[in-house]
Parts: sequence; C-alpha cells; structure tokens
Amino acid sequence: MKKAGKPVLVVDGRPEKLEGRAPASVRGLLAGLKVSPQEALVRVDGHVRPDDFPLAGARKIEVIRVVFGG
Amino acid sequence: MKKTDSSFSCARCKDAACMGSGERARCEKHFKEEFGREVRRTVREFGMIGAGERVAVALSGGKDSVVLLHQLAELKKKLPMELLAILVDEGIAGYRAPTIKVAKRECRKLGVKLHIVSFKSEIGSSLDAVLKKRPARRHGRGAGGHASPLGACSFCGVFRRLLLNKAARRLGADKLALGHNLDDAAQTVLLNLYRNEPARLARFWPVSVESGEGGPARAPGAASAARKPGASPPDFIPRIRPLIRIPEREVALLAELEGYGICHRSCPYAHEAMRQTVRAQLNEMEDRYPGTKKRIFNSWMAMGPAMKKMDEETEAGPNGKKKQTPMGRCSSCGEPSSKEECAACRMRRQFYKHPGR
Ligand SMILES: [Zn+2]
Ligand SMILES: [Zn+2]
Repeated sequence: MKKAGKPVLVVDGRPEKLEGRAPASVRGLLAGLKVSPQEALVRVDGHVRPDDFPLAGARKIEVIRVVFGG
Repeated sequence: MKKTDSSFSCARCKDAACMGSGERARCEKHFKEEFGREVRRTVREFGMIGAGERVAVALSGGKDSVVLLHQLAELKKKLPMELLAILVDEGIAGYRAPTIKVAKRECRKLGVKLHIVSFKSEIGSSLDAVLKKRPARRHGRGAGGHASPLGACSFCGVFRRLLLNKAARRLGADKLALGHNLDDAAQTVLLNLYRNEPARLARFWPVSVESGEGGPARAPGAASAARKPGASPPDFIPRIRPLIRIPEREVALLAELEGYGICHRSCPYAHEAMRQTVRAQLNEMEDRYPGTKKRIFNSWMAMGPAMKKMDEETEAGPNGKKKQTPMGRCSSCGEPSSKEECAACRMRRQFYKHPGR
C-alpha cells in the first residue's frame, strides 16, 4: 500500500493524536480509544460507517460518543 | 482508493452502508425506512396511540426524545393525533440549558407546542440546590457503587415523573410518550433483577397504564385505552414507549444522520446511577454476543404476562416483600400512588423542611 499520512482524528469535536500505527478498521480505532462500539458512531471522510469498515486511505475520522439519556 | 466492497454495502440496495454488516448492512435510506417501520409496528402492536388522541412527548432535547418527537410527527401524517411536548427543567447547571435550546428549535421546526415546567417553580428548588443539601455520607457512592435510594437519579426520576404526569394531565393529554429505547428496557430488566424487585419488573411494560409504583402492565396487543369524549382525565396518564425496540446506538445514528444537532454531553449526575454500570456491562455483552439486548427484551416480553399474574396472585409478593396495594391516592398530595404516601412526598420530607405543598 502506498504510504499515506495518518488521518486526522476528531473525538467529540476535539482533535486527538493517533498513537502508534493507524488502526485498520473502525472497530480497531475504537478499541484503541477504549470506547465500546455500542457507545460511539464514527464518520469516515464525512460518512457514518459500520464497525468493520476499513480505515486505509481515510483522511478524516470523527468519533461521536453516544451519551446516555435523552 | 477502494470505494465499498460488497461487505460494506447495503444488503437491500448495494449503496454504501452506514451500519451493520453482511445481511444486516444498511445504507442511510434503508436504515431510516426500517427505523420508521419498527416504530410504527411497536405503536400498532401495543395499541399505543388511538386515532385523534392527544399525545404529550416527554422532551428533554436529548437524542432519544428528539428522535421520538420526529417519529411521532411523521406517524401523525398517517395516524391523526394531536402532538405536544413537555420539558422538565430540573435545574442542572451547564447541562439542561443547551438541550432546552435543541428542544425549542425542533418543536418550532415541527410546529409542536412546547410546555416547560421546572423543579424550581413546581417543587421550590432546582435539582442542584436539593442535592447540595444531601447528607455528606451520601456523596461519593459513585460509579460502580451501590446507588443510594437518595441518589441524584432516584430523586430526579421521582420528581420528573411527577411533573410530567401533572403537566400531561393539565394539558389534557391521553398519552405521555417517553423516549425509552431497547437499551433502557434491557437495563431496566437487569436492574430489577439485581435489586430483587420482581413486582416492579412485572409492572414494567412498553405501555404503562398505572404508575410504576403499583399499576398493572397492559397485556401485549391490548387495545389503546382511548378516553371517551367528555370523560374526566385519569389521574395517571398512560405512558407509551414507541422506541422500545430500537437500540440506543441506532437512535443516536438516526439523530446524527438527520442532523438534529443534539448536544453530546451527559448529565453530571449520571455517574451516580447503578444504571451506568449495567449499561457498560450490557454493551460489553452486546459486543461479544450480538443480539443480547434484543434477547433480554424478548425474554421480558415472554415472561411479562406470567410475572404479572404471579404478582397479582401472590399475597406477599413474589420476592417476599410486602405487596403494594392497588393504585390509590397519596394521603399527603392526592397524586396517584400505590402506597399510603407517594415517593415524591416521602422524598420531599427528607429534603425539605416543609412537606407537601
Ligand atoms: Zn440501501
Ligand atoms: Zn404525595
């Protein structure tokens, strides 16, 4: 795979640093962040994607935490 | 870059999926369609809303209640009903104000009248002020710990339910619609087991026709309890839970896809609730064993009628605790209550110098 820069990561509207190797999938990313997939939605380059969606080539990843209540 | 291979495309139309995998993968369009269908099925199956009824939505401005409001507004196009919204402002600094903004905006969009009632005006103190008066030893029974009966969530819940019921009654509502989702239901089932509260569990149902403190659950498929024209409003406004089959994450997904602009901030007191621990446990189970929440829901549906029958027949109550009496009125405030004095009056006495109102 062509070497691409790490994607920009935004968690709940705040930029975060992606530590180590870029995660392969949405699920891997959430595991690294210690967030249950049940408690988050992830936008990859603007679109909400399923848990197993691959992150290779993604430029921007936004994690939205699902808060309790409401 | 690879667009979407077949495992990430909608099982219905092959467009890019926003959720699920394989046969369960759905694009935005099909996810939204199926969401609406599930809500309609639930409303129909439990006879939640009769034609022409006045439905008050308990609106907090959070994802669940905003999604519920929009779903009912959509349903209204097929099933004539009168929609209104009630918001309870508990008085939680920094938390409630932004959600009130969302609630006002969404009601304006849909042309739904919003009624706001507050702890301060109805019971004399904001939740923040009441909780400051808590005895010191009550503090710090935090996450994972045993929730004290005088915890923030118990107190808030009792008064929120009281205020919602009173406002719904004053506004002539036939039903009070709550945004409880599948996760809430599965958590409630487990919480009642953890706390040895089978009678409460027996009375918890997608439609409650009497207060959680002592009303029988409505049997599945029972017809809507529509009020006859001219009849006086009942003390207890039946509560309906049209989102009860929908996982919390999917409610959040719909809110995100529809751009409802929900505030993603949790209540500062939420960590005090035992429910949070159960929520985390259930989410871990769901990750390891997908479908766990649905299976708990289905078990609850299957056990409900039998549990209710057992609860009615057993003199002492199935857990050996003293049985609650049929719904009557609180001797202090006159609100519906299964006990001599309602939970709100009991709590009021502990927190305020002046009991009653
Ligand atoms: Zn589709
Ligand atoms: Zn009372």
